[in-house]
Amino acid sequence: MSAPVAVRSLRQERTRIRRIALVGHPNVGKSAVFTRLTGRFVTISNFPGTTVEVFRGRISLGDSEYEIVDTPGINSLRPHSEDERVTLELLQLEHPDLIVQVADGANLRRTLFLTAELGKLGIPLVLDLNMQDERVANGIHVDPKRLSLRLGIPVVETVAVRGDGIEDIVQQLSSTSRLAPREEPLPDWVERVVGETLVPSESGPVPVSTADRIPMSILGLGALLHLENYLGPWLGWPTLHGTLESVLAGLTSWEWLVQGGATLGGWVLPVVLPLLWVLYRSGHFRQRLGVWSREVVRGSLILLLTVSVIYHLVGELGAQTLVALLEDGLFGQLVLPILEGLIPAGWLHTLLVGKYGLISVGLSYGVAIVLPVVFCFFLAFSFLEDSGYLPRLSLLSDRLLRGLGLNGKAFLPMVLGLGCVTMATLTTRILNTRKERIIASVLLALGIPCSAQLGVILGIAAGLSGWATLVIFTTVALQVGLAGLILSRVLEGPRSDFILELPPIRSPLWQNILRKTWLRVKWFLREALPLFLLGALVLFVLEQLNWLEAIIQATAPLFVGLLQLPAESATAFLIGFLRRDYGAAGLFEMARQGLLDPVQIVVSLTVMILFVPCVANFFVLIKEHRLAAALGILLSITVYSLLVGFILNLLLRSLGITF
Amino acid sequence: MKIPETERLNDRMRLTELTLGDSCRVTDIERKAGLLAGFCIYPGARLQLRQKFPAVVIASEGLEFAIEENLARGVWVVRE
Repeated sequence: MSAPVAVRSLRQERTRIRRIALVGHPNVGKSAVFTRLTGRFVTISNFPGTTVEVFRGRISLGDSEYEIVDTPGINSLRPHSEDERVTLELLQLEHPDLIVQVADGANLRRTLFLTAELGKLGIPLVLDLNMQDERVANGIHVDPKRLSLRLGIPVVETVAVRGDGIEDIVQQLSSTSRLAPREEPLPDWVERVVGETLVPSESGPVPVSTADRIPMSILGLGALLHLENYLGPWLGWPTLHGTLESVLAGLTSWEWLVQGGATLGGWVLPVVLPLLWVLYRSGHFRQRLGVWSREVVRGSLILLLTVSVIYHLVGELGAQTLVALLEDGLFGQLVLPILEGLIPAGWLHTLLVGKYGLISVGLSYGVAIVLPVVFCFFLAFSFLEDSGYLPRLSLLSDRLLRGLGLNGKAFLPMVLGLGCVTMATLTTRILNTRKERIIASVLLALGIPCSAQLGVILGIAAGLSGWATLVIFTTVALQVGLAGLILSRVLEGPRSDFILELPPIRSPLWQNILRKTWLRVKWFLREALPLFLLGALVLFVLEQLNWLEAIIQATAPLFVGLLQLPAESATAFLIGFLRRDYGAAGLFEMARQGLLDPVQIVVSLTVMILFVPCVANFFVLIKEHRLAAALGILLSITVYSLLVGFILNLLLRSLGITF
Repeated sequence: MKIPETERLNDRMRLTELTLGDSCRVTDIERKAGLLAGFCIYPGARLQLRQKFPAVVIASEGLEFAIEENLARGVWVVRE
C-alpha cells in the first residue's frame, strides 16, 4: 500500500539530497576540501588544472544528506577552456543548493571578483578562506567576521590539507544566505571590502637572514656531491658512490644490498635529503627557488639537476636495484623454482611458469620489472606535483611550444603524460582550443612515454653509454617537434594566449605524496596487471596454436628486414599494443639476455616510445576526439614510428656508431 | 576604480616597457588582453613586473602570473 501524499512528500523532503558545489580559482585547495568533507581522496597537487572533471561524494549529517561536488578551477564565469566550461555548465544546469567558494584568502581582491560573479547566480554562498596558515605566514590578516557582515554570507577559514576548519564548513552546509547586493561598480566595491576587512600586519614577512643562507649552502654542496658522479671520472675525484660500495662490499656479500647502498650514497644522501631538509626548513629558500626555477639560465640548471635525480631514482634505484631484487631474487630464486618443483610438467606448468607463463611472464613483468619502476617514478612525480615546480617549466617551455601550435600551458599535460599518457590526454581539457587539444593528444600518443615505459627504458639505457640515452630521447624529441610543426600548420584554428598562475613553491606533505603514490600504484595494479596477464595468456595461446611463430615470420619483413631487429622482438611489439610498458619490459628481458646489440637496443626503444598508444589511451582518444580521429592517430603513429626506426638504424649503422 | 585623467594621458606606458622590479597601476586594458580580468588584472590593479623572458611574469597581491608578451603589451600602466 502506498503512503499518503503528505507523508511521501515529507519523506522526500527529509531524504532530499542537498547539492553543494565547491567552486573557486585554480589551485586554491578545492580538492583538499572535498577530500576532507567526503573522505574520498582525489588527486591534490600544487598547480592549476589538476582537476579537469567533476568529482562527487556524499555525506550524511543527521537526517540530511549532502552531495559534495568538486569542480575544475575557474577564473571567472566566462570560461576559456574545456575544464572551466564543465564548472559553468554544472552551476547553470544542475543549479546546486549551495556554492562553497574555496579561496586563497591571501588574494582577497581576486577572490572577491569571483565572489561577486558567483553571487549573481542567486545561489546561497559560503566563502571559505583556505590556506589560512600561508596567509598568516605572509603577514596577511583578514577579519572573517567583518568580511561575513560586509558580504552577508558565512565566511570560514580553513587549512584543508591539515583538516583545520573543515567542521566550520560542515556547519554551514545548510546555509541559505545569499550575497548582499552592491550598489557601486565592481572594482570600487572590491576595494572597499578589502579596505574594511584586511587587517594591516604589524610584523609582515620575516626578512631574509644569514641563517637562511646556510640551508642553501648545504643544498649547493649536495648538488656538487651529486655532480661528482659525472665530473669525478673526468677530474679524478674519488667518488662517494665508489667509497660506499667498497665499504658495503666489505660488510656483506649480498650484491643487491651493495648496489642499493651505493645508489643511496650516489644520489639520495648528497641531493635529495638536503633538498628536503632545505625545503622544510627555509621559507625564503622556497621563494628563491621559485624565482630561480622560472629564469632561463638558473631554471635550466635546476631542470637538469631535477632530471638527473629522477634518472637516478627511476633508472638506477628502480629499474636496476629493485628490479634485480624482485626479478632475480624474489621470482628467479624463490617463486619460480618453487612453483616449477610443485607443478608437474604438462599444460598447467607451461601455462603458469612456461616461456609465456602467466606467472613467469605476466606476473613477473608486471610486479618485478614494471612495478618497482612506476613506484619510484610516482614517488618523484608526486613530490614535483606538490612542490609547485611544474608550472615554472610551463613558463620556460612557452616559446618552444608556440612553434608547435601550443603554448606553455600544454607543458602540464605533456609532463603529466610521463605519469600516465591516458590520464594526461584527459588533462588536455585545460587547453583553450580544439586545435591545441588535438595537437597535444597526438604528441602525447606519439612521443611521451608513460612512467612505466620510461622507467623500463631508462633501466635498459642505463646499461649502455649516456650517448645511447641521448640519441633515443633526442630522436623522440625531434619527432615530437616535427609532428607538432606539421600539425600546427595542417590543422585550422588559432593558438590561444598563454596565462598561467605560478603557485608558490611549497613543502610537499609526505602524507599526501605517499598517499598519491600508493593510490597510483594501486591503480597500476588494478588497471595494468590484468592486461599483463592477458598479454601472457594471448602469447601462450598463440604459441600453443603455433600461430606465434607464424606471426613472427609474417612480421619479419618489418622487424628483421626494416629495423634489423631479432625476429623475437615481434612478440615485444605485439604485446606493446596492449601496453607499451609491457612491450618495453619484453625488450628489457631481451637486452638482459644479450639478444640485442647496442644499436638494436637504441632502435627498438626509440620505436617502442613512438609506437602505437596503449589500449586505454586509444579509448580515451576515441572519447575525446571521436573514432575516426583516434583511428587516424593510431594508423599514422604506427607507420611513422617504424619509418623513424628504419631511418635511425640506417643512420647509426652507416655512421658506424656502436655506443 | 577611477584613474585620474592626467595619469591616463601623460605617463602611461605598456606593461612590457617597465623595468624589472617596477611597480605600477593598470590604467587600461586592450581588448585582446580582456581575459586578464579573470586574473585580477583590471584598471586600478597594482602590479609588479618580475620577469620579461621567456614569458612576462607579474605579481599581483602576492600571486604571480606568467603571461605571454603579446598579451602583456595590451596592458597600459603608470609607474608608481
